[in-house]
Amino acid sequence: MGCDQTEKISLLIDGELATEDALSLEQHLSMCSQCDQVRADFLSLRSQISAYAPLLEPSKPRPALARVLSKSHTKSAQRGWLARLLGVGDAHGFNTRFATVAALVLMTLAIGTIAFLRYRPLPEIVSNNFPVPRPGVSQSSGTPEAPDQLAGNFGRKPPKVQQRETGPTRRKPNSRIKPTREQSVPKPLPQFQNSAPPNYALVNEPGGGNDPASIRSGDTEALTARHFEQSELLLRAFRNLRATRAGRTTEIAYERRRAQQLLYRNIMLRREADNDGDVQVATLLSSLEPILLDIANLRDKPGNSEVQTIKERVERTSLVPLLQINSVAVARANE
Amino acid sequence: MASEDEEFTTLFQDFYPSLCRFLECLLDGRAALAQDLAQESFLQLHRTAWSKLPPGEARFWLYRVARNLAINEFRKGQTRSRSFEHLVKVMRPRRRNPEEEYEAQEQQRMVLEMLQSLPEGQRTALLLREQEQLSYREIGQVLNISESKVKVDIFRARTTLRETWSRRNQAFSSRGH
Repeated sequence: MGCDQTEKISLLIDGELATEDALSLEQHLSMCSQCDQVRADFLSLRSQISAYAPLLEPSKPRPALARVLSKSHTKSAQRGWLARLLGVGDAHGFNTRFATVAALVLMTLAIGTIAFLRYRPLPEIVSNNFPVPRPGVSQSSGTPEAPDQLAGNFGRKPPKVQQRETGPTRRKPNSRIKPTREQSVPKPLPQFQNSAPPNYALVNEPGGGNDPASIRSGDTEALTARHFEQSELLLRAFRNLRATRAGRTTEIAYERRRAQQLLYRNIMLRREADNDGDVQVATLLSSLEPILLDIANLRDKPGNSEVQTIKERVERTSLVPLLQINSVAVARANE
Repeated sequence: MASEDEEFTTLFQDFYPSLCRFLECLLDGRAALAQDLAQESFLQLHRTAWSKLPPGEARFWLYRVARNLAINEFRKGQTRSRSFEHLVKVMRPRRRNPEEEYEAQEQQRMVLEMLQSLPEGQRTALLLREQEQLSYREIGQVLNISESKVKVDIFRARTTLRETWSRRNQAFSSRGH
């Protein structure tokens, strides 16, 4: 090779070359086909190495590690049917919330039982034995008020529950799970259904009864996780593209080709997610699709503004962190 | 304490898959061993350094330890069989047809072969750059070497791989004729 810029080309594709040097090297590359070929070869090697897919799916942690992780994580990941039914719980604060709700339900049942046993046979005695009036409680009718009267006398409990509810948890308060007098009727569960906000990080949590993960196949899950991971890598690489002074962005052949490959798979996976009713995954794939499409349709040497527009959209939609979170979540769900 | 555990779990979720892939490429495709060593790295992190490391350092620490564990495995030569092998199941993403499947497997095998032709230091530096997208400075932190050494290692690795690639292509086309 007449001119040896190979080392600089290596730095250029890593974004480690100073701006001035990068600009002059870009200029040189546009004239020297040999050096341009070196860059194409380096980028091709990069695409092959970065596209390497592990032969084995990341497996479950062994016991010692599982114990460490379980301190904060698996308690929420392995939460029971009640938590899922209530729709509460993320990695932080599930125990407090769950304990509060469970205590409330048990307390309500106990009060209801005592009230039923005591009040029904001897309504007058109950009234005389527990004369403390409670503000805001109607005294006009008989039977429905008995639990309230009893609660007022066992009484530290309602305020205590209220305090616990708003106390140590870091989650935003949910008015629907504050204890109310109506909840002294032991039928609270239907009120809490579907109260969990959409959360990409919890997508496809294993074991969820109405969880889309349970109705999607393991292979699709694995493919989706991989797709998220590869898309994330592509978007990161795209985000790091360097603008040039001449108004042209650096070579994007690798990113464009990768986007074309990922686009096809994205469409497939989105359709499958739609069919399976996995709304969260389908939504994320739908947001990803136009970005992939735009990158795939870029010219060989697009203008800075074209690239910048796409970069801004990537940032605005927070796709990179969402993809990262989801690739892990989906991979875990598939374990 | 609880938040430290949560942070550790988040770190595990974020980096376990990529650490496995990194080790797998380093260890010539020995996937189960790679996962074992990745888990060992996380355990060591939790046991020894988790509370002492400044924020953001854990990732580099992990890759450093993982690499050292991998080097130990190289030294052992023949790796002992592990019961861990039985716990993992094979994951091969299904492609549209067997031809594509075969092609992808061949591609993976070739990548591994080419990587194995590199000296360990160059291979590690290149993997950290191409797969984990670490900067030269970060790679230097992981490998405990200077940035200029990283620069040279990556450059040499690329040059070697390019030559290997070119020789393969020539051999392939001469066989074809």
